[in-house]
Amino acid sequence: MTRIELTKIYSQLSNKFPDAILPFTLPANGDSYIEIKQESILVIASELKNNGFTSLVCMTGVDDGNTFSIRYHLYSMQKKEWAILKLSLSKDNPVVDSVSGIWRAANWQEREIYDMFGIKFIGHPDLRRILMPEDWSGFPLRRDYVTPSRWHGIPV
Amino acid sequence: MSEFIIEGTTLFKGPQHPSTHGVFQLKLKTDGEIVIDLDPVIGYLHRCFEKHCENINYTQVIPYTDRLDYVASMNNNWGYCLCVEKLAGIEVPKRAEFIRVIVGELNRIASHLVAFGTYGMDIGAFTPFLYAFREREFILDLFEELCGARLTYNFVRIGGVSYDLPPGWLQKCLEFLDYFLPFIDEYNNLLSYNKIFIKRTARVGILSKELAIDYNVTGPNLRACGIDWDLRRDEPFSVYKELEFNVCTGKDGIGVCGDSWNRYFVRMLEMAESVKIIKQALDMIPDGPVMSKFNPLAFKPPAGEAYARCETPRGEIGFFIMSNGSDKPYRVKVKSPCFSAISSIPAFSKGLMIADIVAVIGSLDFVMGEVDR
Amino acid sequence: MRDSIIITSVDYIINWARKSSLWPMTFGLACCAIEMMATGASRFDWDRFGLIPRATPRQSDLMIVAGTVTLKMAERVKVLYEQMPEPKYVIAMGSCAISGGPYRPQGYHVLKGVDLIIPVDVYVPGCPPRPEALFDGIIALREKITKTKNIAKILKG
Repeated sequence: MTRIELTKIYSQLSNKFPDAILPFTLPANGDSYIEIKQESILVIASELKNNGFTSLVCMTGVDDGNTFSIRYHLYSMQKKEWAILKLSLSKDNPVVDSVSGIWRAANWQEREIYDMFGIKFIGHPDLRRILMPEDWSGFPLRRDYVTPSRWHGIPV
Repeated sequence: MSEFIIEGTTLFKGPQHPSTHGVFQLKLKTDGEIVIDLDPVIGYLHRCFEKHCENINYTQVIPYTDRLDYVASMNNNWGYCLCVEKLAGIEVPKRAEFIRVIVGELNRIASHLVAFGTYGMDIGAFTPFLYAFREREFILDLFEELCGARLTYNFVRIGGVSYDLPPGWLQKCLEFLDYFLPFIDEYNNLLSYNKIFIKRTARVGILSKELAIDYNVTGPNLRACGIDWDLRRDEPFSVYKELEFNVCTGKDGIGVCGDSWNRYFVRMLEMAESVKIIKQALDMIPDGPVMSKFNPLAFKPPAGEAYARCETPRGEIGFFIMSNGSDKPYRVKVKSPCFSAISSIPAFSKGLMIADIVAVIGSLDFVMGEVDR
Repeated sequence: MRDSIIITSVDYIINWARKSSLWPMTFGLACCAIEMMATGASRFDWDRFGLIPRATPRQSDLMIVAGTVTLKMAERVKVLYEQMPEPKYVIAMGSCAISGGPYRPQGYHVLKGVDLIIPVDVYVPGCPPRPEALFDGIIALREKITKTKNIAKILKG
């Protein structure tokens, strides 16, 4: 399988929104990604949706150590083309706009990221835990997560 | 006159319910027999797969991928190995690629047989279940001879497959295919064209094309909506480029595009296509090594990230792997096809009867191990 | 008269009745549930041991815990066990139900063995166990039932 290179779509986007996109470097190995600013996700997302990226294939939260980041894997079935967006969030106040109004697939994926990392999505219709029980404390996929010893009297 | 407000009764269906395909809960709000609102609750099988991956090395992850979608373990192994191979740039020998196609398609047949059998059971027909498991056992026998396990195979490895085929296996596989093909007609006569079954499933729970793409529903569920899309043909991985097969889609006729009957029937059609694929692969399989030169104990892919997806019986499983140059993956994320399928249930199931909800969730054919991970 | 009279102990006849119609609850959790279904299906056929799956705990004698029990599920498993009428038996099928299995080391949401919440009669190891192994577990449970001293229990109070 060949890796995903996004040079073409990057030049299109950076011409249209020069302020919203951070500089692009082709990584030495693996897929490339377009890094965007936190506040411009809705603008870029709706632009890409209008350009034929009709499916949000995957949304991934990552704990990068000092920051959190989110990957959006978008795919266009007509053009058979990928677009991968990355945005970084501070650990103190991880808040980002929800894209569930643009792709409905984002609804549950954002709930999962909230459940695992505690990243809050503004404008999400129903942001609550999805995998863990409602009254669970902490966000398990954070690197500094410590498992509680008991839950409802059951040893963990 | 005051407005008429329907308060509704809240019904909990699951997590222990014979028709929920594992531990899955539906909160139904009903007005009599009509479902006015529903909320799927998942997470009853959340086994912390992604956390485990951060603490074990790349090869040790493969047995865990077996247990994601435990009805089609081979395809899950394959999806994970594809992603690691893409990240590390490993070439897979030609013979191994053909073996992967053969076992992957055999597993697809086995998985669709389970889907067919349990769907019959959900609707109220017990016999198809016994028929389906009868033929499935022969596939499991073939797998057992190959890797010693009946359900969790750990057979597809990074850079190839774990063992070469045992002597005489190809012949046995061919005999099985010749034996199996006539049974598909038998299944169709038994269940697919059964009048009661059609009444229960046709035109029930219609998922439109737009909704399916918006919710990123994939695999047979997407094709049943009439969308001609199959990763094996449209974004070919492995050696699917060299093989000829049809992509089966839903059709208006007995049902309409995107209804439960079509979702079920696409799987029946796909079984015949899988037989066709395996027969070609059996003819074309070359001699040679089955594993590329690579040491799994000292395996450290260079830093970077990769996303790869592969067509499993339930849809496109995607793996996102991030490496920081050490022997353990920094982050593994699984994009599960069933997760998307379940998230779309509330969008097209409102207004159905309670009994029709059973027909809808059975036809989506999800496995909770993959949804909850 | 001689043809129609059997002399036996009350214990024997009660235990014989119990062990010959063990009705399990259809209750699948994870991977092992598929092997449990295979055990119930055509080739292995657990009907010959008198096992007929029931869809409700109220009618079942045997609970086969087939698969990983998570914390979210643990409370439900406990409720289901309590809903079953006496006498009731539990088989822990597979390494996840026995100890957490492969999900033990990092499993922040996995119960480390179902015996932490309900009593278990027979443990069937394997990941997942083969149908033959499950049969071995069922036969072991039948032997255990045969040895129950019902009358002595009643007399003791």
